[in-house]
Amino acid sequence: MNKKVKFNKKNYVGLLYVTPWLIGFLVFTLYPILAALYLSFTDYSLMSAPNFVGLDNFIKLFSDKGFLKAFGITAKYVIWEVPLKLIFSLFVAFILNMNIKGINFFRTAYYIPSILGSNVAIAILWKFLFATDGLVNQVFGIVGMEPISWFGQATPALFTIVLLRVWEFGSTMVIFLSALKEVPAELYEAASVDGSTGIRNFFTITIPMITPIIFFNFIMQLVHAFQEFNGPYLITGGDPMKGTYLLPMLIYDNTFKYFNMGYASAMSWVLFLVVMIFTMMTFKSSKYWVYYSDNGGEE
Amino acid sequence: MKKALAIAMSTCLLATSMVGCGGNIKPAAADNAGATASETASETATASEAVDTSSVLTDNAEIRFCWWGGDDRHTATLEAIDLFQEKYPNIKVKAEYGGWDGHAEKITTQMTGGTAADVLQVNYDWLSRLSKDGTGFMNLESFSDLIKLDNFEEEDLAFGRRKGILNAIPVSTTGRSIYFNKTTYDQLGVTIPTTWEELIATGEAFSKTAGYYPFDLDTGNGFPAWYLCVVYMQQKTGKDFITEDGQIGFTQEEIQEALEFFKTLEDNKVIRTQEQRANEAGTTPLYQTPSWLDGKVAGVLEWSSSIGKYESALAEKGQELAIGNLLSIEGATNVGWFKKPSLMYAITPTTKAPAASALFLDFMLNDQDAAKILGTTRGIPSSKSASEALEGTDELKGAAYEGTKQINECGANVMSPYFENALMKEVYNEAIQSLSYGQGTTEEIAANMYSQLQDTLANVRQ
Repeated sequence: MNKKVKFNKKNYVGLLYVTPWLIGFLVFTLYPILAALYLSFTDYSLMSAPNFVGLDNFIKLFSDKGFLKAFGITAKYVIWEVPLKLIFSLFVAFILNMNIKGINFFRTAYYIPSILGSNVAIAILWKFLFATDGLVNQVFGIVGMEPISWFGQATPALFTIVLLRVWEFGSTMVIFLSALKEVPAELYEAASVDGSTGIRNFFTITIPMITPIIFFNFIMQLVHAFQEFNGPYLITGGDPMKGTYLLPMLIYDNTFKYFNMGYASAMSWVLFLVVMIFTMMTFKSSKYWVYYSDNGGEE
Repeated sequence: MKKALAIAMSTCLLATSMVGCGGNIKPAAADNAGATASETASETATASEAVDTSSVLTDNAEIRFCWWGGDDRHTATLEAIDLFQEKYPNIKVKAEYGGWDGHAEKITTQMTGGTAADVLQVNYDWLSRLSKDGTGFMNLESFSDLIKLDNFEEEDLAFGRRKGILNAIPVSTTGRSIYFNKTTYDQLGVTIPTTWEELIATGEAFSKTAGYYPFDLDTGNGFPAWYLCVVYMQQKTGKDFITEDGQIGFTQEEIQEALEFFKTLEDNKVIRTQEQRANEAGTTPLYQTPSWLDGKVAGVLEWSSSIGKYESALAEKGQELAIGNLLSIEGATNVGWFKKPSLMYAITPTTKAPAASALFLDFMLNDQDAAKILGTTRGIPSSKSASEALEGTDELKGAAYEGTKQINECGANVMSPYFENALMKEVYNEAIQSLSYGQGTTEEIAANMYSQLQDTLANVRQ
């Protein structure tokens, strides 16, 4: 087969179609990423021209207590948020996959939180829900539980931020839902002939069949979780005692509050590499647990 | 093959979604522009001695004016701009305005990129970073025929000088005073405190009614908790917390004593603990919280320029806000309390119409018709001609006016621009939070705070 691709008129038309995206990608994604890489080796402070400082920023990072703490908290956030969100959205998708009357209404209703996003209004809602005598603590009181100091203590405060994202399960849920619908019904029929039902079906048929989608959602959520900014910025401001001060907030503060653009770029790159490594590891591991019905396209 | 494609696609996706982080770097695009901007700055600063202002009344020009604020300020400013355009039909003024959140970041980015508006409303602490050597903004003294500087006290102008160059002119000055919810105090039968001892004693009087506190201090962006500690310790020691040359004026022991003062307030239930505060509503400002609106937290340390919203929030609930005395230690040689410009006007060095900008700046500061329109939407004007215009109007009353007057008349200390530096604030708030959350003894926290303050100041002074 001739591997050389000949550029004909059709190709140019195709290229024309992707040009808007391509320009956007080059100008707003690739260029900033490369500029950040360059700046991470400088002492750029926004107000004066950058000076090359070699690896200083990176060396400083690993002895910077603030950075290490923020990193630890970000890791904790990711470890909580990603599985919780995946499990919850799969659970909701599973329910919405059943044949219930008016299911389309429920499917729409459950998607609404995702449309609302983590904006200022939602942040205010969250603050009131988890306030000292907010709705959550009132419900706790009714069932005889002690009220929790949600925003006053680091761990519960981080948990409220996690919950905000878990609550926005809509898009992952929709993707799961479509995957659930794709699982061939004959597999369940065959299983029922063999006497398998319910939970067993779920773990031995459903889960294995949707592993490619779990894999996809996992990567997407992982990438997003590492970049969480709105929740802590709007709800807790990183407090108490920096217990919700995630890495993207530290990067933001270093850039715009302290004007350590070079240093912040180094942090961004470390974050980027960490996300990259985790993504690669997930890809590597996928051959052990992800099932492709077409054998992953490999002959 | 499919897999390889999948990996390639996901990498692209990953890169695209990393834009959130990459986005922070956008101002980098302005690398060179930034360098050019500062070059132009120094050129203009030296050349500005000879700014040609003769044709400003005839030449057509378009300038941009950028400010932050609330709705009242926006409406008044837009109206003042209309009046200016009526008076000087050859100059067109484009308004760029919004809220405070994210504003500083926006301006910094614009300044770096050389795209900032011609006339800027600037904050006090911006000068030290946007104009390190005094050339970040135009020298306003080079427009002496357009800007009537004799309307201002030299003491006020000093706030706007960097290395002797007049970079900005304060629109108004402000300081923090203590304000009380008089209604609550009356209801509980507690007299409004006039000394530090009385303030501490109110804690006990209030604690008889569950959930009530006589005062409030937070560790937010405005660091009132540490602010009050500094006021107290400056009175006690007679020293300045930050000296004129940007050094720490307190010893480690004095820092410790300041922290102990905070602990005393907390232990005596004068204020809520930081945990109780945070717990109520996260980062919601006090005047929007139920505690304040219901009168359960009945005191606040606030800028005269910001007290208005506390006052109106209470008024809506039929409660009354009263200004308290500036608490003082008898025989103190240092007043302790501070004064700073609430905001200032400056002209950016990248402007293409410096004379028109200067004319507009003068109009906003000194014109009596403009002053009547603008009222106190930017505080009580420092300009003599503007404040004269307001005399006898309804503008000069209420908590904001009383607060400004109180601070102006007490001979308040001029606040060091380093005091409000973002990195310094981090140190203050970390120390106060550590103390409130019991993360160490006052001695340990003071030692840590002292060394951090010194490092940070050294870093900031550079």
